[in-house]
Amino acid sequence: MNKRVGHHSLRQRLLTSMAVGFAIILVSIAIGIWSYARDAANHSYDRLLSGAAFAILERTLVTPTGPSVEIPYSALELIGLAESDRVFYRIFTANGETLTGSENLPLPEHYNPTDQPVFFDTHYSGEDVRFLLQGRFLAGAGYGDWVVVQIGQTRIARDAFAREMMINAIALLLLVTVIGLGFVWFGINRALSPLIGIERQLRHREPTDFSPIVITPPREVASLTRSINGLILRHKKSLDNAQAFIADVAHQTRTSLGALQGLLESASRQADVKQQQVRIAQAEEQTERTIRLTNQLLSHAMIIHRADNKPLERKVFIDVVRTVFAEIIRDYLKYDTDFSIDSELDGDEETFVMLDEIGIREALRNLVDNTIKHGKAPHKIGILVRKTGGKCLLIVDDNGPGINEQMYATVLERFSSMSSGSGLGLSIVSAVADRHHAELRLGQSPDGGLRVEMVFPVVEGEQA
Amino acid sequence: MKLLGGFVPARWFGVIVLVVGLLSGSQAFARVQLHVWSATDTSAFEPIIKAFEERYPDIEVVYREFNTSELYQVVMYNIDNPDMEADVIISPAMDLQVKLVNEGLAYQFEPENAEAIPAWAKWRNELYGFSFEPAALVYNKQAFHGLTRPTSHTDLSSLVRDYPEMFRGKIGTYDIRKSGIGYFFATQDAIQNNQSSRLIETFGRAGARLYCCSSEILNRVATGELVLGYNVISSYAIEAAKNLPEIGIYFLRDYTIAMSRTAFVPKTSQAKYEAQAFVNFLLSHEGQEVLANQSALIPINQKVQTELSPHIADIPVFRVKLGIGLLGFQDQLKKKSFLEDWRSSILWNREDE
Repeated sequence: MNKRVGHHSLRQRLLTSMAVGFAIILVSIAIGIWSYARDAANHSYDRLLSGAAFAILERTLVTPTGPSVEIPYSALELIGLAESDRVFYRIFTANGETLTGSENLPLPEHYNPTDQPVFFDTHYSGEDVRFLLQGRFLAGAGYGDWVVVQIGQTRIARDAFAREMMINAIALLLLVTVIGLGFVWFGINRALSPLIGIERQLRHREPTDFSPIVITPPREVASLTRSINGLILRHKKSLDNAQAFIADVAHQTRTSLGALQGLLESASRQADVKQQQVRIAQAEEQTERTIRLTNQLLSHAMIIHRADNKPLERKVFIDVVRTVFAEIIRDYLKYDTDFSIDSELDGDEETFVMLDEIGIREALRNLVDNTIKHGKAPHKIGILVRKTGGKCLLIVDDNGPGINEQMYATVLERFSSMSSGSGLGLSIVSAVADRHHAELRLGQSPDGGLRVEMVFPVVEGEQA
Repeated sequence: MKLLGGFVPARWFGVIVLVVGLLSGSQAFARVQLHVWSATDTSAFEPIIKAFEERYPDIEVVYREFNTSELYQVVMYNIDNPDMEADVIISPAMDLQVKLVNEGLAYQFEPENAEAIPAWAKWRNELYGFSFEPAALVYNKQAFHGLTRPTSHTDLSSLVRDYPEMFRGKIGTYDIRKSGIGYFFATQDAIQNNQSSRLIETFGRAGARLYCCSSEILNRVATGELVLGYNVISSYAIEAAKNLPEIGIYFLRDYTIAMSRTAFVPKTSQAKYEAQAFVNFLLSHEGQEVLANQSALIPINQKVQTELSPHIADIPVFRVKLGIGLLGFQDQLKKKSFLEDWRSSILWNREDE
């Protein structure tokens, strides 16, 4: 698969969309993890603070001189498990009297002593500090009031813990992402391998090899393979046709020119002027036939060529038929022929068909030509345009000899003339019909001659 | 090197004012002054400062000696004073140092040789221990002649009770109300040994004498005025024993508390770069060698061999860990009650001297 500028790469598209998807998931999970990690870190280290607060509160007591506290060594050791963190504490009574510790620790607004722990974060002594406040109601020796322990710890260990959790989780996620994208890459390659197989088979194929592609395709590319094989078959048929056509053309031309040469030679050898005149007249006739043959061959080639290169145009059907027919009548004025044209179209101006005007002209011209060639004067050619359902019919009747029903299939092939003549006429009509996706039917005309029906699909609406 | 005093009223601390070394005229003005405030005997620290000044000729160290408690008070008193001159603060009282650092006074930096310091002797990338100093028992060799030396704190207690005549008024230890390092050793004793109050009571009954500093105890042990000195800083003891052969040094075998002299750079320092260079030097292999070979102090780096090494080879040394735990006995109420208990034990039937 060559990477060409301007071509999409399936692989790139898939990878990009997967990567974007992964990135979105990654970011949202990361946000979730960060808040989770912070909560988890707070949870863990808040327990240290709580434990220390309990230990201290347990050692608060009422002495004859008022409340007092003996801070157990283990309480601070416990908080010291967060090794790099600074610690601040204060033990105070409900009226704000400090028993021990730092005098001026910050308090939250409206703090009322309670035995429930109250945690809050604030900035103190140049660092972020998490504080715990917890109270105990002390009673005895005529004293009864709240004693509150406040412990603060800098956030270093908590933040480090949260950061580590975060980094580990993100690293894991990134790993999963990379592996996932790896799988995607692998999967894409696997999925695309039948296409690559097809491509390889086509690339290494000899120009003369028209055998179908042999691979066992997955469902998704089976129809592609079928289409390619169909194309190969059609291509082969068309090439066969072209070869046969060239062979036929060569043969016909040689025969025709050979006959002409023979007539001219025999004319030149004739001593008798009268006989010579006869031979020359015959040669002229042969020349005319050769010209006609050549015209037909060119006409046929042109139809095929146009089919390959010129798109059909959306036209009002009856207009085209009238124009073309008028032209033909002009060309055949010297023959004793009765032309007629009739339309049964309802609102015929509205009936559009996809047409190649030149194709239609060639078809009609060949039909007229055939009638004149094979029939006897006075000739009669009638054109009838009719519409049935979504179809538009162009019917051409003549009063020639007609064609035997068994011969219908044969006459549509090239060079199958039943008498003198090239036999190309009807095959041109057939090619034109193919080009227009029109159905071609042969039959008998009311005058005993041939009836040719071409059934065109009608185009609806305004758009081409 | 310059030794300075003043700054705070002289009654707070006795400062030896000395100007050592000749400052060559032109250089004198170019040199940056580095103020080292330290609770370490000047004589013990001099060799290090000399070595440092040789290594960094652009820096002039101004050394000022304090007692541990005084140093703590001066620094705490100047907590918000940007004009405080100190650039490096050194003290053997680990608890007081932790308390100062916990107040947020210390400047954070990673010294070059930080990995050589054991984990127990550093905290927060701010406070670094550079020496290793167990608490020693010192005795007068003549007086102890023929006596079995005690192996544990309990033995020591029994020994003092068994020979009341010999020990009466002849035991010397720190007055922990005045000496920060004395208080530190006493509280660590209390944590390690639940019998420690009995030992203090025994000392009290024997009429133990109280001193501010190791040197006072050592000098009196040498002369025979004292026969036993308890919890003396071993580095000073080893140094004294070199000059005063009467002094014997001994470590108890149930446990021996070891502290580390710690240094930090205060945030207010005006010469942080030089201060860091100084701490780096203390911790460097070169500096540790100077400690080992030229100074009384004992290096913390275990790879550096010292005179102490043979003494403590098989003694269970309890190394006090720097950290928040040390704040426990620095709580006002707790300190008050501890000192009260101690006072009533050691001065049980006497008034303050």
